[in-house]
Amino acid sequence: MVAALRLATVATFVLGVLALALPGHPGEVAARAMVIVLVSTPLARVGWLTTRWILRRDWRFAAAGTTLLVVVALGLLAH
Amino acid sequence: MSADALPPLVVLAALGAVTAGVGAIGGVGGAILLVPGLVLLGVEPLVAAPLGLLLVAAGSLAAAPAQLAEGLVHHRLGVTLEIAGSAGVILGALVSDALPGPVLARLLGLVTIATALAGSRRKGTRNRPRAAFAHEAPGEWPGTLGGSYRLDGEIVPYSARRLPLGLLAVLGSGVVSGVSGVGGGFIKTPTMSEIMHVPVKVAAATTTFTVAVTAAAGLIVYGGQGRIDVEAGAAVVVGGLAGGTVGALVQRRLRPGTVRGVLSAVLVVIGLSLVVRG
Repeated sequence: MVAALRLATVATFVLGVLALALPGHPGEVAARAMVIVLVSTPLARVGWLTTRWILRRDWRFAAAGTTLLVVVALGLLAH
Repeated sequence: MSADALPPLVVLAALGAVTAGVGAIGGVGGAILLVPGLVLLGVEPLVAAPLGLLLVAAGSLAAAPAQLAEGLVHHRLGVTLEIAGSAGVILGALVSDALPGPVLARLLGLVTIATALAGSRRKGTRNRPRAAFAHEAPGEWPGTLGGSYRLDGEIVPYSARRLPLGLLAVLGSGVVSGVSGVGGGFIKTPTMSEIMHVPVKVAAATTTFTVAVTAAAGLIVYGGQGRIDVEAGAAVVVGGLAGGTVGALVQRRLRPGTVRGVLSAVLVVIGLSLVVRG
């Protein structure tokens, strides 16, 4: 997970620089990709933790992780 | 400048760098300086808040590898508390869309002042090393809200208490995040350390993990409301990552107490300006 988080940090920075350096549509695409990395990385981390807890039969916290992802998903529907 | 017009990208990048850098030195998130700063420059709070959460997300991402490697994050505690935190930020983001700009600005001012006051921490160590745990590897205990961490070469066990009260406080911090665009760490860390009796180092590292999820949940709602200026966000994030890195390096050479004192004074001035101006 440490390596994946470092990679996500570098990807965020590179996409951010591309967003500022590239004109017009390519720059906007890079900016949107940067936002997607920032939003999806912590959620992927929770998903990975929840999966690990399921595999280790840590049911209480597997349920907590699942509940958290459901709550965040409700934000997609709420507005 | 019109009410919601943003400063030029180079100014946004510089603001991101300075606020993240100063925040790293003073032990607060950069958003608590960035968002009020943008509002004082004439940016509408509804536009400034998403930029704050982007800075929170970037800062948390950058800090995560080191904290993970040190074994300080209690993921089970963080995920459990964050159920309330994410619910709060979604609620706050939805409510903020309906509030007038001056009301949001005043709320932001109060949050800024509260952050300054929260800077004075309880002194002393509550959790003590125990010889029985000397040979245990530090980390969280499976299936529980307890764990152990290494302090000055010794292993210190701990167990989080008063979960219902902790959930309530984190729900409140989530609402604050959704309304104002700050990370809410100034509520979450003391909640874990003072109310739930989790060691401060573990509380701070776990907060860094949870604010990223809070920011993600808030940004999802902001995105649906069409409030994220992605180009401005890129400027803030690039500046913030650079400034935060420099700030973390400089922090080792400065006395944290002095920096925190100056930072608290600046936050009070900014907060009062927002409350008065609206």
